Amino acid sequence: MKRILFLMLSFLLLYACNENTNCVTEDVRTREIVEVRAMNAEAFFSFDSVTNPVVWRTFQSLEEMQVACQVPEDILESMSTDNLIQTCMNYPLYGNYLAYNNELEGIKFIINGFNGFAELQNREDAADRLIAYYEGIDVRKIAENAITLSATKNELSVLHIGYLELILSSRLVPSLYAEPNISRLEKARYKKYEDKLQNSEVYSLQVIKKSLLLGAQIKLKSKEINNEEKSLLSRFVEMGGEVNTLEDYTKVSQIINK
Amino acid sequence: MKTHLFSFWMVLLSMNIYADSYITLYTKCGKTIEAIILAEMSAAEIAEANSYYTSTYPNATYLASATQTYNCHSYAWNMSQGGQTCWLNATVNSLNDNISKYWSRDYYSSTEESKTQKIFYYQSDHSAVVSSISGMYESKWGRAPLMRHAPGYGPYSNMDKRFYCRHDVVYESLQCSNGTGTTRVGVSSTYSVKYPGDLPFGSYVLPTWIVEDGKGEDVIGTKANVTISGTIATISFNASGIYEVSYNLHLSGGEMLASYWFEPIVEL
Repeated sequence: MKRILFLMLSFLLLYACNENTNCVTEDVRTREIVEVRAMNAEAFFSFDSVTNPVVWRTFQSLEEMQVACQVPEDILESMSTDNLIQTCMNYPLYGNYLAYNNELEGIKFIINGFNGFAELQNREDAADRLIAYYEGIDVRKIAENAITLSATKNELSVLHIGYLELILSSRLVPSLYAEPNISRLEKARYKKYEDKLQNSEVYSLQVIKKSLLLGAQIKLKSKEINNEEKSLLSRFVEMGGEVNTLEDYTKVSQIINK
Repeated sequence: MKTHLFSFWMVLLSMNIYADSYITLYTKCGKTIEAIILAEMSAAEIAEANSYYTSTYPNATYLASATQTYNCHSYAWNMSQGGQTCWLNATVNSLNDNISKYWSRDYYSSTEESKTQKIFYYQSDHSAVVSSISGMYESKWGRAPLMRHAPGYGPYSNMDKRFYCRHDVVYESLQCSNGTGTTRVGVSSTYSVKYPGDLPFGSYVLPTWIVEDGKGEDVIGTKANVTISGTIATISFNASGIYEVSYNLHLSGGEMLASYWFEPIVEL
């Protein structure tokens, strides 16, 4: 509880800093002169000037959008890891994974297209802070917001949960899958998984699969599973969270959660 | 507890006819395609997806809601031809082995950009159809909405890497063993398709050999002795005249796929 309160307070504080201290150039008439600067290293990055509809509409391909969304290296390097993670969560193209037939492949394209993730890989505390961020997500609250349509602009959505779980499943940060992080990650994953199951009016099988996908990646790193189970989980991961039959979901679930 | 909860949830899901299950589709020529009936996303997920894609891709036109029940490949190659709503993966065992059946010796074949009807983005695992709006394509973006968009505009990398397909009835000449087209009564000649390895095939493809005289009357067994071996016919004529030999491929519904022909002149 204390941890969650601390996290919430931290984010409130950081968000306040961001609102007050980001200095964004106003000239948004052409994409070439869009320059976004977060002057305070304690703030996460704001993409507001790039995503200004007048500017955003000028981009004619994904590659152009990706170029516009890159964060200047000096800002990235001076950003705290928590702010860097928040910046990655705020990445304007985060929801593109939904367009990919294999969402685990989709998240790799997203990761490779944004320099925030490259910087995150360089951080020694990336695993610790990513898990902390994941632990702090309130799946039930997001479900409530989705039902009541009460989410505000900066709150996480159902799409964001899938995004984060795919990032965690992508093995972007290898140390996530080493002790003591992996046990903590599994504990957090289990909590989200259960919360999703209990809010299945909002979280469909499609979203629940991502908890299973993360669980499969975690289980594949353990020595508790036999070759047959390993083969089933490997196939499940390879297919981006898909299986051949409905019954296989139950099998995958049983292996992951045993 | 968690496993039981999941199993219970899956039992509930399995009662729904739209729960995940594999089905078999067929190409126009009758090749089997593996597809999946997927359970739908929640209303909240659908609403979020619609909102995200309409705001993130303002230069595309929203045509239909996000849904998990079908994807780009199914929309382009199956549903746009009247096929059932389902999800179709390009790859089952080897790269693009499932989707490529649609254009590999089947109803569609490769063409140039200006003549295209269907588009496969071969480095993006994506498919589209040509829109009735000039210069635009229409495609379903994974689980996201169905959109009308410029060929290179969308949530995929490498959208400039495209493979174009269309359906055309093939009209070509047969090869004749005597070469000149003129032969004599009682002399056997073979008539064959030049590249038999390129012909469409599948359980719905019906090949027929036809030999007609100048009046358009079937002469097989009367004025022409015909021996057929696949795409090769050996023919000797019993009477002089101008004939038409043709090898046709139809779909079982009657639609013509290809016609290869030759007009031998038979002299006494």
